Amino acid sequence: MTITSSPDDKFAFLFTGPTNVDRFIRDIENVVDVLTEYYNYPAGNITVVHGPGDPPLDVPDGVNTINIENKHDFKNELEIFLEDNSDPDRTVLLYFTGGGDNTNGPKLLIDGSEPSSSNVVDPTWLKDRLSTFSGGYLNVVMQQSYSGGFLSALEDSSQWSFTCACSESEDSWGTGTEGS
Amino acid sequence: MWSIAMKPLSFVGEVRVSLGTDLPPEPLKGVRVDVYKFENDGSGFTFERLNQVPARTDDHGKFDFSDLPVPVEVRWVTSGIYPYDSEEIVTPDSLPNLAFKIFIEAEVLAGGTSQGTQFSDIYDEQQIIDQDWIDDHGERIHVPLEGDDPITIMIPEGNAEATFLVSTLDLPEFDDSDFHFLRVGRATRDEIGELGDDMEEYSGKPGYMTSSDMTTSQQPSFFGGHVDAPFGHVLYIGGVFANNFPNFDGNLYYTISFWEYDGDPDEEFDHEKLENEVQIIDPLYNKKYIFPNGDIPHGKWETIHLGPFDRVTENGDNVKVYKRPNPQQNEYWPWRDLMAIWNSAEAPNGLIVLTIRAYKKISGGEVRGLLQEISMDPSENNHLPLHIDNRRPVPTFLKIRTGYANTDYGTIDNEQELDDCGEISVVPNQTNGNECIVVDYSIEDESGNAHPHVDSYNLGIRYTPKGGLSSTNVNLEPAFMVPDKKKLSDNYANNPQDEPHWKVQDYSSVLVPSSLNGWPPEPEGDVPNPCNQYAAAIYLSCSVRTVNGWGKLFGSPSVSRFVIIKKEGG
Repeated sequence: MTITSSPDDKFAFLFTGPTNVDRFIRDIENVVDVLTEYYNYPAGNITVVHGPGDPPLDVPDGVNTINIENKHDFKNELEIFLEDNSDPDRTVLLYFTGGGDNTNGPKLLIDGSEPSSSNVVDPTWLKDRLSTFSGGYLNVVMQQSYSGGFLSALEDSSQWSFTCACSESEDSWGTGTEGS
Repeated sequence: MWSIAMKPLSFVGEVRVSLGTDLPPEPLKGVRVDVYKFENDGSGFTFERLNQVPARTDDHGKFDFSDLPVPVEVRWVTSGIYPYDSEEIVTPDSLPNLAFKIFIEAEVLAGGTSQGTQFSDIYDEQQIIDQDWIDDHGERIHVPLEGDDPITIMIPEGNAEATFLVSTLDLPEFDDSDFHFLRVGRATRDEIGELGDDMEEYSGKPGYMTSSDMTTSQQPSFFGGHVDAPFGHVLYIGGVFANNFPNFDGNLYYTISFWEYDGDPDEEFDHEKLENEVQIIDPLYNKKYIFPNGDIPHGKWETIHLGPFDRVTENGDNVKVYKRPNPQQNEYWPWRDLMAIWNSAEAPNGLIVLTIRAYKKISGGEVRGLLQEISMDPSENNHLPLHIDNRRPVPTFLKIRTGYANTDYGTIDNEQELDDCGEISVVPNQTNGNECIVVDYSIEDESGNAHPHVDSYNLGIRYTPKGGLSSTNVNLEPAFMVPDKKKLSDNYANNPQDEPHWKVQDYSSVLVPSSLNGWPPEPEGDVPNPCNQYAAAIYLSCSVRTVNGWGKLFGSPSVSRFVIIKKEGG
């Protein structure tokens, strides 16, 4: 198994929970731009998932945009994406931005409301989802606050990579015009 | 996206002078500080001054600047934590690089006269900054807008001016809590005689002022030209609580009283000799200038009422107190030391002594606060002797006679009372002496007593020349000094006294033309063709030495007796 070099074999899952914060929307748009313009991802290989709301998301035609309402929806969409792309020839990028929390450990928020047990996922939750993936390489990029705390849960496979914006004790900052 | 914005820069600093490896650096007190932003655009260093008003170092060499506008790069960023607040951040590389100039104000003298204030540089970092300096002064590069460590300006060893100032600007060690009366109007304390004063110009003259430019040292004076002057009318009393005196954050109050003094004026002040205390309760106000800011783009003046306010002490006593202002950094108080605006007519004429009591508010609000008297340390300036004299001078004729002045023998012949109708006959070419007028007079106060503080008097006679519309003086012999007669004009400076009293009492002077035919109807009186008779006024004017610290009082009052001078047979 090798890292694919064909753009057609590259798939991306991009997520933000809060949709009412400009910087997170810019994050998603900027990543889509990079993937399509510099790495030649076909727009149809990109899935954008966002929390409740109708954000002014400016992405190319063909990008698959999904609006989730809750943690159950998020779980479904992520598992579907991973199952569909569990192909040894494919390389998968999982990109998470939006809100982070560190109450009782690092969390990723799946909507724009105040953090609570019903709207956050933690590293263990994410690891359980990733364990369903049986394809090629998996690259996880996390932009949210305290994202460094997710590293310990993602060290099991030599075919996974992990990139984070900050440590498990740091807030991540960005601007409304340029993203994080 | 980054943008440029003007942001306020605030910091504290200190100025020190290096005195070599064997001595610790000394703080430089009372000097002015300018701050500059500098950059190197590749072609050299450029400097831009940031402050409008220089800072001044305090006793510990410390100074501060607040809210100096500086351009920096800023952008708004949003947190990644719910509720995703935004805040503005500054690019560290856009923060200002700071350099300083240290200078002093110096009064320029020429011939003992002030020619104004000149600023003299002591140390200017603009002249020395290069890459090596920057490498050694990392704390000056990209200085945070606020909250950083104090900036130390270390003037290198060998700076002659700074080293000299360190040795000369040492201020006296202040007691913990004392007060200093320091001025009356423009007259500074050292221009006012002390009780027991041993200086030549002030000895035996407590409470009188002599301008420093009138002493043997001839130092410039804000209120020059006055000698042995008592005080009168409304006095602006200035003073200061010593540097170490706590200001209680604006909760400092005080009273000022005047006392009669029963001690020996030639001996040092004895607090036990004070008697008959009267508290000063004249209204007190002050004025401050608020520097321009966002709300007040052109700055503005404000008048502040400072009492007296009715308060209660912790002992239950009712007191009327003045409040000391608590100036803020964005304000300028030109008369910050003003302690009282006192109508001295409330005091008896003579020597009085001002004293002060201080209070701090220990509880309650602005209006109903409870006061506690503060024990003050002794100070040679915690009292102020003033000699008060509010008597107006009244020039008074006592008697007017006519006669013949015999200049050959120095006698006055044939004296007789002035004609009730005021007619005086003159004959040209008199052979038995020139016609003259003998005037007896005094300078009195309003009670008919001789005024003790006369400064000058002037006696003369005026008439209107033929065809004229104004008047002129008859040209008189200034001092027909027959025995017991006085000069037509004289002043205090010509009549030194052991005490600062000079009375013009029961004086007598002779008005006689300086030429034989000098009365107006005579050939040399109103050349070329005089009238046969003239209306004329014998006048006496005077002034006293009394001042209020801003100017001389009572002007130059005069009295006149009108007469007719006619050529006999005319």
